[in-house]
Amino acid sequence: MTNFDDQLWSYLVIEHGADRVSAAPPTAARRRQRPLLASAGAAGLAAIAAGIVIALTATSATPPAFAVTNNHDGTATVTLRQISAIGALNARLAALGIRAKAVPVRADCRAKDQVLLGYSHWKTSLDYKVTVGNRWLDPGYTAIMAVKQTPSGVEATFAAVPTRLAPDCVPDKLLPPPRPGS
Amino acid sequence: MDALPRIADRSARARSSEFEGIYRAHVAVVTAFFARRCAEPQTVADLTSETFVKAIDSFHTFEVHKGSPRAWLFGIARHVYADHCAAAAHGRHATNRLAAHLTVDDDAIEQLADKIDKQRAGRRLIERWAGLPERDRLAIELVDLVGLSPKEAAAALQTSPGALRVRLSRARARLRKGALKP
Repeated sequence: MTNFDDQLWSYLVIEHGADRVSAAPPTAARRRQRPLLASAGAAGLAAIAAGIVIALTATSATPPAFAVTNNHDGTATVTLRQISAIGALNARLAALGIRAKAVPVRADCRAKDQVLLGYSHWKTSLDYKVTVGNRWLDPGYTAIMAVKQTPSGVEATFAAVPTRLAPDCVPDKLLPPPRPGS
Repeated sequence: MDALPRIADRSARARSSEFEGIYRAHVAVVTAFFARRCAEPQTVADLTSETFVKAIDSFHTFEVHKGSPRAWLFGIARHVYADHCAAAAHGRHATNRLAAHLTVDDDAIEQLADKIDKQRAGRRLIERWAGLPERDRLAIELVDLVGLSPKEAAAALQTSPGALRVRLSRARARLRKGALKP
């Protein structure tokens, strides 16, 4: 297939469930849903500073490892359920021109500590979803989503870092502890 | 053909594989269909995307013994193009209407531009056929340019094979007479 064919197929799979067509008519759950933005509170404001808005939505019965919804306003809503999909997720964000990058949290990561200061929000969710957009980022900065797979879902930490210093991983020791009830 | 199991009875996995197979086999001809009509690569991308999104949503109604996948897709594509023209005629920006606006990278845009260029001869033919009624024009395009059988083209145009053959014969006769030369 050509590059266009590949990109279109990825789009159809990610945003329209082309890999999950069935004999039944498409349900509301399978159709794309607009997220409800929940940006109030200190945690939300901190996330916005990192170029990210936390969003909460209902989920479908058989979710994909990740999904990216182009919101057509320069932002995209990202859902990540399996961190094995980081590579594909980053490729999709790059194709959309959004300066955001998901990186794994690893105990053996040797990224420079000073780059990783300022992580400002911690969220644990079975259906981890955020909205990212360049409009919330200073020029020359990239939103880093440090993600870790746990038995209960994907844990994520966000920060905006200078693009030229954006790490490929985040050391586990630098992450703040989960907030109670998060 | 009646001995074939109804697609609706097949497993979801088989249906998904079937849809991907149909996509891979036909995305090029559907893209070419729009490339003969539009000079803008992004418009071609959006209309092709819209066609396959509608195909996903209506795949549960598609049964192979009622028509070929190619005829089914061209039936959708002609409606997508008609809607696009109607939106343009009413002064609405077509991409605002599309539910399947696709963001593609520069390489894909270049590939689409190349495809548009390669469809130049087909586009000139369509322009020469401007004096034909639209359904006659589509009939001759689907059969003589795309390569559908008259039965497939009839399914795409939602008419009977007999009526399509009449349209085809009439259109060819008019073209032979040169009545439609510019």
